[in-house]
Amino acid sequence: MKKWKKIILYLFFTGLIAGGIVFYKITRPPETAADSKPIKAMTAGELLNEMNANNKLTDSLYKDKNLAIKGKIVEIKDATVFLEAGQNATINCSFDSATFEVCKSTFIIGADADIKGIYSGCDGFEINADPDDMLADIVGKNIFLKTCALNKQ
Amino acid sequence: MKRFLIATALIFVFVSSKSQIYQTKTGRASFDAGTGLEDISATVKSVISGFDASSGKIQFKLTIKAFEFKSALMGEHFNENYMESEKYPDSKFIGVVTNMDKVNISKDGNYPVTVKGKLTIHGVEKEIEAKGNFNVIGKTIEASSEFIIILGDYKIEIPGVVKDKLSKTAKIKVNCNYTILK
Repeated sequence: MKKWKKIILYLFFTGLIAGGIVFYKITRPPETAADSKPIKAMTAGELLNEMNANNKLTDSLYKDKNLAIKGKIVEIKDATVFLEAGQNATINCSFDSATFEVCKSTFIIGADADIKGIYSGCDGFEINADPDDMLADIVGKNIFLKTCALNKQ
Repeated sequence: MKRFLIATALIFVFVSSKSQIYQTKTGRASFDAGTGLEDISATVKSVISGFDASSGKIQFKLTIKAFEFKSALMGEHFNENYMESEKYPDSKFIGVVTNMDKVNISKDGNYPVTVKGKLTIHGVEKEIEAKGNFNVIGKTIEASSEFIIILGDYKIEIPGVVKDKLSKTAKIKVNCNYTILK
């Protein structure tokens, strides 16, 4: 009888742990820039240079990775801070509204900012072969960072 | 004198046509493909879009990886299994506002619009038509639209395991605050 009790208890706790792991995996929130350290710190111009040299390689290297970017703020709109990278290119750093509310007072157009964010892609670096595509001419080159946070708080 | 007048007129035409172009880099798009059993939705805050008020031409583009989910696992499944975002990194729409004659960009107000064009998702291009709204406020336009797509039309396959949780259709919402191109 004691042996059965032990087996049942063992199965119960194993099941509980396994259930906990599955529950954590399903409900785990996505990683934000604030949760981790950037894998690399660079200026907006340096990131643009890497993109211009080989945008596909740079894109695959940094996709879903946390990057810290320093640059001059050229625009602030809808919880997104745009860092000037030169050559009609910007690093578009989008914040969640709560984080943006906390740090928006530190953002001043024309001032430098040090922002970390999860790299999510780029646009405008491919040769535009579509004659109907007017975006490249009007929005330039864009590099996207999401779930951003201030790098040094 | 005649040449001067023609040159002035051409400059005026160029300037006025350029001032009809609106753009945004912070447009929002979201989708909802839940069935009620589970909330399957995500939002992207970095939609780039352009709108040429003189021709009615309108265009959107977004990177698939920029979608933000409530759960990391959901994001992984979305990118790896359904959207194959490594293979098809972005989604775009190129179209026109078909009732531009009913929109007065120089007068503040709400204007219902109909947009028709080609939507590319998961590497598949399909003709769509959607209703929307333009709210003109000074030199800005708040544009919004809501429409439904059938996932199968874009070769997005739903595995049997999640058949009950994932809808066969997705409700797409788009919101863009356009500013005039300087």
